[in-house]
Amino acid sequence: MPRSVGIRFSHATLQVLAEDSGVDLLHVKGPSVDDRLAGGERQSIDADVLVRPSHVHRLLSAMHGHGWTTMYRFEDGSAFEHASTLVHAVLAPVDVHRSFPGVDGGEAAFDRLWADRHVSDIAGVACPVPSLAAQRLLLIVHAARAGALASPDVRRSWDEATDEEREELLALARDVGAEVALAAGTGRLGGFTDRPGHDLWRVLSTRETSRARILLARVRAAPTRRAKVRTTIHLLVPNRRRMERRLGRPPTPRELAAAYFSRSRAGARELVILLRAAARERRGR
Amino acid sequence: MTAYSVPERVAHVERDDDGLPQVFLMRLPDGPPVALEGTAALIWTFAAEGETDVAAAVARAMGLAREQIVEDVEAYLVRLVETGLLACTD
Repeated sequence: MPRSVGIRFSHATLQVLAEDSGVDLLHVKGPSVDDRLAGGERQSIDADVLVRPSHVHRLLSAMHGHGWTTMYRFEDGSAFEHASTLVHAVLAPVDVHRSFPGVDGGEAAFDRLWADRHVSDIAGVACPVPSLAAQRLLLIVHAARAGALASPDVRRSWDEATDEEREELLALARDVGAEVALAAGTGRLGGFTDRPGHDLWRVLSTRETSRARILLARVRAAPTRRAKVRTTIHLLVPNRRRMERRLGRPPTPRELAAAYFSRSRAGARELVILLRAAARERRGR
Repeated sequence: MTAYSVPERVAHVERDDDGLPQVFLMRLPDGPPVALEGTAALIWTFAAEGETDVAAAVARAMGLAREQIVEDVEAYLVRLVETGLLACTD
């Protein structure tokens, strides 16, 4: 089965499972993107869905009952811990998003996206998708996170948008807590230097390679002390499940220790350089 | 003449692979996916589009006489209905 067909069948299957389980689900990216923003066939490798945060467990349970297995849990993924990957014997993998990096409004943000949804046909099944403005927002924020500011997604969603469409997008970003990420994706981050997420979105959108800078920015952006500790652990401690998939077997304690020291050493070296630079800057003032 | 439609919970993707019509079908949510190619894909597509004389439509598309294929086409339509990949609407 061609990959593009498998992806469409995954979307259609999830929609039916969501309906049967009373789950609110929005289909995002890939074949769900409006033709006005898509620019032809998108090169996806999986199906992406955004689920109402309070419905996550219900959806995962329904999927597990219909042949899906969890390949990566939320905590195995990015430091945002936003998506879990589930695989199926014949269908395309699915990324179940419980949030979208850069959209910080939680359940209230989902409420807003859900209220503005419309239906799109995927493989003959009526699938709820975000409004056109929300699709623009998600594409831009996704590009910003990948440091792909010159991507066709940003061009179509922002550069080629009318003033009215941009106003609608800015208002939506304010409502769903995505102002900083949108600014990062559209070259307006300078107006948000006082926001907690500013440094993080600067390092992401500029493809910063220093692990220490990324670590510091992520920790700074974490909203609570507990979240800061969790973020630090996520970035420094090697992920056992990902190592297991790469090695094809569980990692030995020696391999885990080696991975931990390798990550810590690299991060620590850069951290020392950063702290020395900061100290020099303070002395120079 | 019988009219057909796509059952509510059947996902379908139609493609054209270098001139060879293809239809991928899957009963939701558990499948399994099915691939139809060539004449089989044409039969399903005409039926799904509401064509009441599917054999005549397929014969026209293939440059054949209806009588040459009508039995095979109708037998195949019965199979598609039995497997839940097509529904009779009357």
